[in-house]
Amino acid sequence: MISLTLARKYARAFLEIGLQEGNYEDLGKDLEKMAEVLKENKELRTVLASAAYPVATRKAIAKTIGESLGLSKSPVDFINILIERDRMDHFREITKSYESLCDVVAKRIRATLVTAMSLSPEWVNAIKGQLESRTGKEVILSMEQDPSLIGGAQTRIGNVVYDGSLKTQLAFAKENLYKE
Amino acid sequence: MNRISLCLRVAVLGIFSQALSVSDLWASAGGSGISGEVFWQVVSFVLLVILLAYVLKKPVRVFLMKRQEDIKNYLDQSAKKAEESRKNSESWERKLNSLSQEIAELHQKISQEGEVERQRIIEKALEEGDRIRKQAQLVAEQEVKKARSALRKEMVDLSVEMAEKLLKESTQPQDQERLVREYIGKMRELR
Repeated sequence: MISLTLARKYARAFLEIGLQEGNYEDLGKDLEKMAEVLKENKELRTVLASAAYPVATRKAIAKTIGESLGLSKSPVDFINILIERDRMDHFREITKSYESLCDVVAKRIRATLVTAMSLSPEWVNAIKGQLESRTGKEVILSMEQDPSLIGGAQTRIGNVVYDGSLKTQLAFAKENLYKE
Repeated sequence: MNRISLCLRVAVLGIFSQALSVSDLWASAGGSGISGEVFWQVVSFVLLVILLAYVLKKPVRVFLMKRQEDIKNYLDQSAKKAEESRKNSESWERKLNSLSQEIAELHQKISQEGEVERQRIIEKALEEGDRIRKQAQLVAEQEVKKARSALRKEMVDLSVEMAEKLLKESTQPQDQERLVREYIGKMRELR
């Protein structure tokens, strides 16, 4: 909980910079790139978050990675501040919080569409259109496949789930049969 | 008492001696009339009798009256004792009778109480039996219900499992499209 509060605090501060510069979306993408690199590289994550290594060394490593990823100046400066304050262990949460804040600013939502088997793009777009029509916001839809659903689809937006899977229908049928 | 007895004895002896002397006189005279000496002996005898009568009259009367009184008292006391004994006897008879009656009543009471107790025990036993029977019936019904429920659950689980397996095997892309179409339709209906 403390981590989440802290992450929101840093994310909000960084969003202020992005809004001032007018490139908060690009800054978010840069943070996401860095988060992906750290996610894939545990050693790098450990080094950047560890106080055992000198701050200058860690900053230098961050700068090198930033250059290789083609990050702009602001994200690298932000990462340097996190290194100075020993907050790199919260980088993933900060990135997520920034993403959420960006979505709020840009008036969009993120949804996950889970299907039992692959779905043609026209059906995906149809579902996306329905979700946008329903929420009145732009929907960024990510796809997942789960064979246990058997058939149909399931969409998650935050805590809300629109479930049209055969698995759930069978579960309902089962419950009704138990009650009879 | 001794004095009176002594007087009586003296009088009796006097009379007896006089009588003997008179009979001697009669014998000596040969029964041919009363001489002067005899006459005076008779007179002295009479005087003696009168004296004795005079002297002994009162004590003898007192003695006899006392004796009569004693006897009367004795008889009264005996009568009283007899009456008392009779009363006691009657009382004991009554007591015995009442005791017999009491025993009979007690016996009857005990019998009645025993009967009531017997009835109470029988009623209690019947009630307990009824309660146990109902409880057993309830337990049996619950067990049957539980068994039915378990059986139904097993049947449903098996049916759903089979349906799931069948659906997994038979669901085709066109089914998936149909399901997604229905899904979009339901989302539209949610508005």
